[in-house]
Amino acid sequence: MDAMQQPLPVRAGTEAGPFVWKKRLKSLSAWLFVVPSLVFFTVFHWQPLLSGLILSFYKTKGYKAVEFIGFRNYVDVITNSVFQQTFYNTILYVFWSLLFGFFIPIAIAIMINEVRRGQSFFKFSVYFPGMVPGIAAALLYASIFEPGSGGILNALIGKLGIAPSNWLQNSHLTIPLIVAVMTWRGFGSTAIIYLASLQGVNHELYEAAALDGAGIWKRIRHITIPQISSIVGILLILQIIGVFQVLYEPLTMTEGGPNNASMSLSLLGYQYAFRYFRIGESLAIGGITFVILMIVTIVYYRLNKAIASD
Amino acid sequence: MNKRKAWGLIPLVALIAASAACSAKNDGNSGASSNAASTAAASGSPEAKNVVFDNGDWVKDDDKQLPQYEAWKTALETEYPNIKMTPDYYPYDVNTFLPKAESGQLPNLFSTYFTEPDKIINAGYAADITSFMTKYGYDKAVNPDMLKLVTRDGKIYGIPDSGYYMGIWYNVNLFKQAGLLDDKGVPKFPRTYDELAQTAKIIKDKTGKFGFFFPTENNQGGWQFMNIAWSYGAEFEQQEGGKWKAVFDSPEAVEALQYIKDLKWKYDVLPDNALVNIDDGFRMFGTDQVGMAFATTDWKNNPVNDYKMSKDAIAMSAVPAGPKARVALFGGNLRMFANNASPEQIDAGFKWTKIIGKSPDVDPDSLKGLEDKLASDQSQNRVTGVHGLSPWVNKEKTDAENAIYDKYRNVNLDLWNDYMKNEGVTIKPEVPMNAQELYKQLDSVIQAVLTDKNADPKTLLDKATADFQKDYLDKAN
Repeated sequence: MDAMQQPLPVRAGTEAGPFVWKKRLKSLSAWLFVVPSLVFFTVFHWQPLLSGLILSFYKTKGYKAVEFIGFRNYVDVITNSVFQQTFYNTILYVFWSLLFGFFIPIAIAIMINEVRRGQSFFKFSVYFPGMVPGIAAALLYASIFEPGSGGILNALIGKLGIAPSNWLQNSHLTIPLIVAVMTWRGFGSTAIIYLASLQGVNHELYEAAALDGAGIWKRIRHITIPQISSIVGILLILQIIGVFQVLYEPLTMTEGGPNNASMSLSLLGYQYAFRYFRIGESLAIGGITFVILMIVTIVYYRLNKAIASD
Repeated sequence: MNKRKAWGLIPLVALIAASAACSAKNDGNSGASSNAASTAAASGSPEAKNVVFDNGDWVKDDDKQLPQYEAWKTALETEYPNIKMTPDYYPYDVNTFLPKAESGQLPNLFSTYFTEPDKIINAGYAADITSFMTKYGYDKAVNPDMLKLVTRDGKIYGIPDSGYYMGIWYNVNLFKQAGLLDDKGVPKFPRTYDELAQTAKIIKDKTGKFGFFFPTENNQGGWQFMNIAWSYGAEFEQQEGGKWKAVFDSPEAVEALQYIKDLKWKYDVLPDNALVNIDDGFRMFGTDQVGMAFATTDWKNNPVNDYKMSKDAIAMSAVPAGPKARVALFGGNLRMFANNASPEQIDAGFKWTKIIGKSPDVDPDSLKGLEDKLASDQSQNRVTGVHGLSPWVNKEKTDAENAIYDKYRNVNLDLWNDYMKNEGVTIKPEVPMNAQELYKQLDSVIQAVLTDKNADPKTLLDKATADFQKDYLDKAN
């Protein structure tokens, strides 16, 4: 690893000599390790991102830029009659996912952390749904939520004497149910990250608190939460970013219906591109999503910094 | 070089290897065109250039028609030794088309349907095949209405393969259980949409199965709604003073949407799940869960192939009449060539089309393909010998084809005759402007009336019409 710590030969151009070349050679292996990631990020992340942003300002034919049209694609998608509802839906996805999915992994991680026996079993159980492929989980739940008396969930609640529900086809329930499926699949991996963070907390703190007579709630409030607060913040932002781009769950479970009740921004972008071959508009949706998420992230970090400096 | 540096080279070597692998794949894919362009056979004539023809017009590995396709491949390669055909099964799918087209991975020849060429041509993904259409006589032989759908600015981009007008499918098993067969064992076809609703209700009451299937996803709901709405007297787009106007907020359109709503809430004959597409329809129809559905002839073997439905359990009639008219939507299938296909590959595609019996020629060789196909279908107990619209206008060709259909027919013609005669039905093509976007808009309102008992068809259509005008037609005007 010491090769990685070598200073980069930034001044080499002005003082070329055997010493500098030796230094350059020394850092060569470090660069060689970096190059694959650099190429990977350039080819698969930055270049598409940049090309996409540029193309969103053009009239397109397939993926070819035909004519620079400024913000017209953006204006077109924002003024489209489904955009407003889609934008609102996307915020609803985030709201419900925070409501369902933000505290549960923290609580589960704390509970597993407190468990003294069978911790591995609980870790596995919690992580297990995360191993189910996403599309498979979405299709599985779509069949569970099948409306009518023949649906699996309706048949089960029918045994309890409860009337069948339309589940995903009730426009008020569609988004919460899709988010419930996303949470079911995703909370385990988040809980494991919290757990890893919790297990890094110095046990002496707990022992000292216990000696001072602190109960479990006081220990959680004064030790656990402050110790994992930075990871909580990062996972909050990641969750917002992830859910804001929700695509395949509504695509496979409802196709954005009924009557666009579960249409998300990413699904709208997907439909612009794949169904109508309107690449410019699709990329404009991507650009809008990108800007919103960037603003959210910047605001979060600014707030966080302000709070920390207080 | 010391040991540490040697280790350091590993990632670079891996990277170079990966790049080499990528470029090798690219070379493989571009091989077809480079082979075609660079390698010449001994004679040196353009006809004799060696060509690798990447054919998407193929079947799945487990398809029973595979031996037939293999035989056609052998026939093509034997007759034209300079052509080497690579099977590259590609069923057209909106989810995969764009990435394949953009990355140059489309097969040279692929099949699609008439709802698609507009956007494919607009995006520049289809090759101009005008000279080949002229050379092989398709331009004169193909039904001009079909040819119009694949022509843009005087250039032709597709070979129409088969046409259809919508009809209604009947599940004979459920009709039998419901006591709705006549003396000859033929379903009593409903002649009006009201009769269709009544028939669907009888099926639901007598069998407990759903009377009618109506899709609502993937723009298919809007697409099928056209048949009903036109028959109720509704129109969708009109040109006034050179400008396009959305006009489906009419009382007729409202009445048609109310009809769909009634199928759910008054007659209760539709499946419980209101978010369904045609694949769900095949499943439900093929497994005796649904009595009737809108259908086209080119779907006739989907339930037979995929759900082991008996070929004798399907019947088909012309669409019912509405209060104002009796209209069926016109559609069909076509073949297109990828924009990166070389002239030699396109030529090979036309030769393939002839081998499988889909060329306008009437000689025995050209008819053999159709005969082979029907013989193969018949031997596999697929529905054989019934058809929709012929793509040809030359009588000699259609007569010759009809004779072959008659020869290999393996179903009771009484079950299909009503559809094939299609008497009293007006056939209409898709609306000229933004048809897919219109279908999407209609999908949404159909979903709304099927999932919300209190949804008001008029309010929904007023909004949908205003939105469609603002989002699409105003921009086109």
